[in-house]
Amino acid sequence: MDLEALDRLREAVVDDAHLRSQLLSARDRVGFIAKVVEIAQSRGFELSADEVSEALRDERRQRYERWV
Amino acid sequence: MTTTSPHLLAGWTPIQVGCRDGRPVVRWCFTEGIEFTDPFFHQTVEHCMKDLFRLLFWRETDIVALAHLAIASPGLDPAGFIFHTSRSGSTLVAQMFASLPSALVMSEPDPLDTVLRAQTAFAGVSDADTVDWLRWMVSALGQQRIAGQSRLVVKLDAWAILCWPAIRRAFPDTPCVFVYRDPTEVVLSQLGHRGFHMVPGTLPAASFGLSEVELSSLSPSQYCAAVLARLCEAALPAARDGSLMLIDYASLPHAVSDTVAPHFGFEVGPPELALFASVAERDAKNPVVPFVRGAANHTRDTPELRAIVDGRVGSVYAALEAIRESRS
Repeated sequence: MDLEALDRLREAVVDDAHLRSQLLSARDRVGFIAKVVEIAQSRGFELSADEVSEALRDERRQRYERWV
Repeated sequence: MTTTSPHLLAGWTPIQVGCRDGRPVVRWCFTEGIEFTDPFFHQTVEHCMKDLFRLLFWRETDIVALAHLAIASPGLDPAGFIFHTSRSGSTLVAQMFASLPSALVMSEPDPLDTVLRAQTAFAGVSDADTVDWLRWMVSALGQQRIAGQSRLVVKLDAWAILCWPAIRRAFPDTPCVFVYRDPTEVVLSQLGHRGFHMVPGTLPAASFGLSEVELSSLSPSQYCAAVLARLCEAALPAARDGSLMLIDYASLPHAVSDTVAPHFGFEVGPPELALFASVAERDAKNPVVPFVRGAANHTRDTPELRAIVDGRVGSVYAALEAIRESRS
């Protein structure tokens, strides 16, 4: 997974109320991932749906590990 | 890590303080529209994490970003801090305040705990740093969440009373209460389901005045009693000088409206009493079930256990009771 692309996308999204709103309104996981990929591509970041899905799994795993 | 302008942190809440290259970093979650009304801060954070945006799109800042935010947006005035022994009704007290439209309650927020214990987690953190970071973190946590909120109530973790001097230095004028209970009841509850601090090794043994050798020789009952004794001992000087109001479990829930709320500067009229009553009839930690007083597991209540608890906690508990009764 291209962590640098995800980090750069994260930096772009967290400060942009419009992008936040688009992503918060995604109805389900598939729609959310598709929206993330679309936003990434529109900004020139190479990020696939599989990579976004993997990033979500990693974040979830890190949350769980806090309680182990 | 770049410096984040305070205005970009509007709508974001610090949810964790971690370590990167030996330095503290603050993890923020987008919490606009989120009300922190769950019994515990971490429960609200976990609810946030069910949202994929909030899970994936966090931000990280250095700790100084908290200072910049505190200057630009100081947050709600802290009305009161709730200290406690755990298993003593403190969650009920916090939830009763959380029912008030004017109150924002932060209940055992993880990042505040990390800041309190920063001197053991990070190198080169001075007492003055701890005091500054405490003020900045409370300011960030105390940002108004919904319209009408004007006061902040913070319930700290049970072991936070060990850091009383730093907290008092950071907030010398904030009213504080210490909620406690018959120590045998507390230990019985802990033996049924241990809190974090009651598991040996989770916090440094020295925090509780124990050596590593003692730690390995204590039974579960002895360890719980030793920790409880240390918490009560830490509360005693502040209780004596009047800066820490003592609240006995047996006086709840009425002590919230009669004593704690006025101490924290809240006006209590019929609307507030009705809200308090609706909370008090439910289990504070699990509001879907009714509250049952004294639900500790009494199958472990033996003369031996009582002797252990009395031997370690009896005298300090009696001292707290004497102070409380002398002021009632």
